[in-house]
Amino acid sequence: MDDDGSPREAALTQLRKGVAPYCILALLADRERYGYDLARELAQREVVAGAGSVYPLLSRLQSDGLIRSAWREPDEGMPRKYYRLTAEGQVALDRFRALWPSFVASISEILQVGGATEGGPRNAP
Amino acid sequence: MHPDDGTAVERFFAAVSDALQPLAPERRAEILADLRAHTEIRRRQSSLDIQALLAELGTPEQIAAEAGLEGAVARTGPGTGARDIWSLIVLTATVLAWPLGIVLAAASGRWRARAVAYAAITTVLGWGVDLLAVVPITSFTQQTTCQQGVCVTTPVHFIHPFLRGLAVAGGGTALVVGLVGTPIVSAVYLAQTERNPEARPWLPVITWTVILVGAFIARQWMA
Repeated sequence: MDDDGSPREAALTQLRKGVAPYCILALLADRERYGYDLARELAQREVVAGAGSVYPLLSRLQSDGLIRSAWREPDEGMPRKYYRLTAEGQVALDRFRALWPSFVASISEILQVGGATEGGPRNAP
Repeated sequence: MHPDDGTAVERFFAAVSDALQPLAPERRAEILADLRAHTEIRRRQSSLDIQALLAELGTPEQIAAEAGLEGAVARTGPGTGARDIWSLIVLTATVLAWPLGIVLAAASGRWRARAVAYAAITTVLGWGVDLLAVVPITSFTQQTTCQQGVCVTTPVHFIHPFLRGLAVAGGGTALVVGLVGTPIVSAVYLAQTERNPEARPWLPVITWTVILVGAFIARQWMA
């Protein structure tokens, strides 16, 4: 990344890597959705760099067996590929959901107080 | 759409295709097809110009960055390979017992309805035309001749016995090729459209043309 206003993007890119796949699983937790819908929502929320990044992720999640796709023909317009969570995907999502709160709390604490309140590593001799 | 827009779109997808080069061809084709479908829907739903619309997708490099060869998330156990096994079941069933294969393909949701319909039509047409073509070859009419009050009924074949022999042999061969070949064509087409749902239906269309032209020629020749 260069420095024409994109350090923010560079930081986001690093943060997105681990969480974007789980966000897809979470969006599919309660209902099936079609790729365009997922791509638009994730791009609007800045979970991915662009809507186009969602499709490789969907492809990877599908080849990992965590989601499944099926074509549906709407009454009007183009056929749409819908995705839904598999049992294996649900397990992966549940595990991530269980880890996430304590992980975020830990990171937030470090960011807010520098992890220095109780003689953390920064103050160590 | 302005003509230049088409060029811009094709340039963009060519760049994405290059960036996805390390991927297996079927995954690359699938991602490109999904991106093209996304672009088409977005184009219909928004008034954005094509450059802004492509910018929304991200750069080819950003897209490729998400297509890593490793799994997207930590695995929960050994891979099932369920997707490949299911495809294998459908394609094998299409070759060996095509009505079952077509039903499974339709039920699986892995194929668009159009692809399933094309696969079904191919085999139905192959079998149907074969059966219709072979029946006249082996059929005959009866001719009754009466002399001095005694009538004799004899079978009269439509064509000379020698030619009829050739036609039966040729028709029989065509029947076997049609019976065995068209389910294979259907299965190959399903395999093709599973990898790339946007694939043009050249294979079934060429097969239909060969079947129909062949039947027409055979019919003209035998008439």
